[in-house]
Amino acid sequence: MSKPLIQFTDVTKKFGDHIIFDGFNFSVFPQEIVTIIGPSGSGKSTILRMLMTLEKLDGGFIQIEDEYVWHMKKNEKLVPASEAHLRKMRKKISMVFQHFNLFPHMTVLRNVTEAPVHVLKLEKEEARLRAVELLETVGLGDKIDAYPAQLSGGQKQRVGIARALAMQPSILLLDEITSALDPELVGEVLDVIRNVAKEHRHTMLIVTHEMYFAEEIADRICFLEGGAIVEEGAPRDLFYNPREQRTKDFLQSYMSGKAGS
Amino acid sequence: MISFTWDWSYAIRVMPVLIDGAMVTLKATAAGTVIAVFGGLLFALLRRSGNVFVSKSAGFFVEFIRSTPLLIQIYFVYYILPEFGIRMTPFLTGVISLGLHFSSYMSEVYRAGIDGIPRGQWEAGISLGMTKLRIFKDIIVPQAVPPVIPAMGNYVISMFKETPQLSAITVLEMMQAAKIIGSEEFRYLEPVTMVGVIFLALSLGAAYCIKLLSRKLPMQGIPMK
Repeated sequence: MSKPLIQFTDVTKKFGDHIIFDGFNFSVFPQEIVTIIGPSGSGKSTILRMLMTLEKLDGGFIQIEDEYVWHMKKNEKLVPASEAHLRKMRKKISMVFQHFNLFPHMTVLRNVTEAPVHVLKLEKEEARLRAVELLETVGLGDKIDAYPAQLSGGQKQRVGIARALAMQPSILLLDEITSALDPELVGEVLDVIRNVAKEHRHTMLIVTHEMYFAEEIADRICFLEGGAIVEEGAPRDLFYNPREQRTKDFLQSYMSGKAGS
Repeated sequence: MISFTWDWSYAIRVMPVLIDGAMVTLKATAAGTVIAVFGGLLFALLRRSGNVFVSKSAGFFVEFIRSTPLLIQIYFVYYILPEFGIRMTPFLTGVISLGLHFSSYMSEVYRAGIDGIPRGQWEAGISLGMTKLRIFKDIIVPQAVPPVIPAMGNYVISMFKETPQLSAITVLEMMQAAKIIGSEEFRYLEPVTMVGVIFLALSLGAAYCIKLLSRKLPMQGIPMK
């Protein structure tokens, strides 16, 4: 296999006295689509948030290719990253959020062009053309002048996806992007992600509770519990032939929960 | 003997002088508002700075201004700063003192507005690679300001009512004009009453305007196309 694109090495993370990760190791390969599943509180989203630089590390390293995310080299020594270094690393990554986090005072179009214009320094017209194209591919070509409050949850999240893609990231992070949606709106958002996965081959890191979607889209599924990857493997193996008892228990309780609901 | 009967001809005669004073009062309030609105935003941002020295200094300065009387600040700027070579006209002194004093209150208003913005807005901005300044300018401030405009308006009315303190440093605002007329003619009843009525009318009018305005504010933030 090729060299990892993303590498977590000995990562430690605490929230107050509560230790989430203690010596966590994890890697993702170029163009790989990895889904993280696990019980709530296991730190699934924290993995994405540490990579996106929204949560600081308490120890260890995260690397993208040969560069450190939270550190930089200065006179051959590793020192904490400057704001400028963090911003540089962020350009490689885009994130789609559970609660969309659209900018409510901006039109759909402006939501998508804001960062390309000010961060990637694209010409306004070019940013606009690309944004319109992206919004058309997510099925919102007729909503470019609407404000987020005028959209349904599924439409908002599709804007969120277009906004993330507009940054032309090599890594796409999806943090429970359908969890805040009404069930009938989940499908349209997942369809968009299916298309994105088919056409762009971004490296994707997905946290989701949609097991069927995970099975269909992922190259590899990681079952996370207690701050460690208990078991990982191809979707088929992990879902239908789990080796670890804890994985079996999780899948069992998940399925019975689903059946009961 | 001071008579307590209301003298209409006297009242009408001194009216123009009081109106001139009222213009000075309004100008001082307007200029003070500009300073307070921008100064308050500046202090609010400095207090949130990542640099501890900057945020603590700004916090100390705001607390210091809020906890000392305006009159003392006016005296200080007018009589003591010239010792250090900083000399300004009474009007300019008054406007700067008023503006600075109220910028400390305004900074608290901004702070409430900024704290009311969900963390997800910051996180979206950070994830998109924006600088902190850009996030403030394009995302946070446009959303934080409209909800706090009524509170800011109330401070502008407070400032308006504090302008008579500028009479202490000879600014010829409404109250100073009334005092001069009264001492020249030995009759205070009419000019001081009229000053009070003018303050009352303008304050009530302004409060009503704020009420009307607050219904029209874009609560989703200042629209950006």
